[in-house]
Amino acid sequence: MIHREVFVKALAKFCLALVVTGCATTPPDPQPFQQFLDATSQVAQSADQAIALEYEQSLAAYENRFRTGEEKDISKLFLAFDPKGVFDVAYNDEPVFIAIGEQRRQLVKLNQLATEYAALLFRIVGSSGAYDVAEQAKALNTETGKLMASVKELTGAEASAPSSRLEKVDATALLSTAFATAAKAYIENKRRKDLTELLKLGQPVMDTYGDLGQVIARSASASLKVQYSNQFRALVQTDRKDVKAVLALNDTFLKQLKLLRELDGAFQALPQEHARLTAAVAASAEVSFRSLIERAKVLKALYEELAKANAAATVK
Amino acid sequence: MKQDDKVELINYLAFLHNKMTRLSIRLFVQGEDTTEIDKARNRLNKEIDKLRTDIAKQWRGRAENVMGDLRKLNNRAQTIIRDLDQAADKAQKVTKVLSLFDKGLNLVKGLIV
Repeated sequence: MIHREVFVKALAKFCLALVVTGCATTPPDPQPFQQFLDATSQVAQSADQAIALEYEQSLAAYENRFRTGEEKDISKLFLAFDPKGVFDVAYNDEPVFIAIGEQRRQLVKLNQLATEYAALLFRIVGSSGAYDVAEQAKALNTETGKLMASVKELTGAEASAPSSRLEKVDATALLSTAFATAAKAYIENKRRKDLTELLKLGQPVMDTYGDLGQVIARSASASLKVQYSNQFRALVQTDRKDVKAVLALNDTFLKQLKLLRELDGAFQALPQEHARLTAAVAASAEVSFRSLIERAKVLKALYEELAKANAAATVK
Repeated sequence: MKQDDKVELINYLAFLHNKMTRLSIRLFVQGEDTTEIDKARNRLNKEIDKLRTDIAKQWRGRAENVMGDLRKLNNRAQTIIRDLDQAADKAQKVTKVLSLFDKGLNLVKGLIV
């Protein structure tokens, strides 16, 4: 006859072995990943808005040059065919607004991929896994407990009083609970390992992405400065006493420049925050993206302010 | 020339353009002839446009490479998510089986004296 105490001890040893095989860990905090995703998305949107603004101004300046007679050669807009590529066409001498327009199209794709990357990082942290297993085990344990109570009622096993030592070990659903715990540890270890590896691979890519974003912000800044000087000059030519119009022009330009400055800072911060994310997963440390989030918020507010100003100018 | 150097140069040219515009405005306000300075401004304007076009073209080449790298990263991330989901799914199935086994063991335990 098998003694109950020996049986329960054997079960406990087996379960302990299962738990020890996986080093119990907690999942990485999803909040920094959510913040990184939000910030990346906002920075990407602002970059697109900045280059859209540069494109519009550049096109307007190009059209203006034809109107004023400064530019006369429309053949620059004549598309040339490629003898090798059946469907390939190109400009012989690409006008600046076309180059900026192409750059914008590519920036949209690049931003989509970068935002998708940030979203996938967040999904890795928050995807299903150990939590579901633990919940499953808990639910099953409750069901098993109820079933055991009915079996005890039917068989009358409840009548026999357990020994005091046995009371300390609940054998109900021992195997499933132990397995769920071991599986949780395994999944969390795998999650951290794979995430760390992915973040390491992603770091040089984010470095270059940040650099490309800064190029957008800084070259757009040069273009807008030239447009501003030209617009100011044209305004003086029309009416040298229109202070209100000059101040309105200055105000819009200053807002545009501020937006680009913030964008430049945000693109500089993005790869740095990505690096901190890597360190946070590896060291299980808390990480805060306050500076990047604040920049993203400022960018959003600045753009909205600029959009309102543009809308008001258009109405006038 | 590196892209960063070109970006620095275009901003310097924008600064020069601003200086020339200021001079043109001052001459105009004083009633002087601005034809020559405006011609020079326009020439500089065209050079800035050429440089901006060049920066955009070079940028597009670099962006193409980064997009390729991001696609690889995203594919890898999707594989990781799939693997984690599959591991969780398997673990749930095994937990269910073990739970049935637990029920059996507990029945036996209840009957052992």
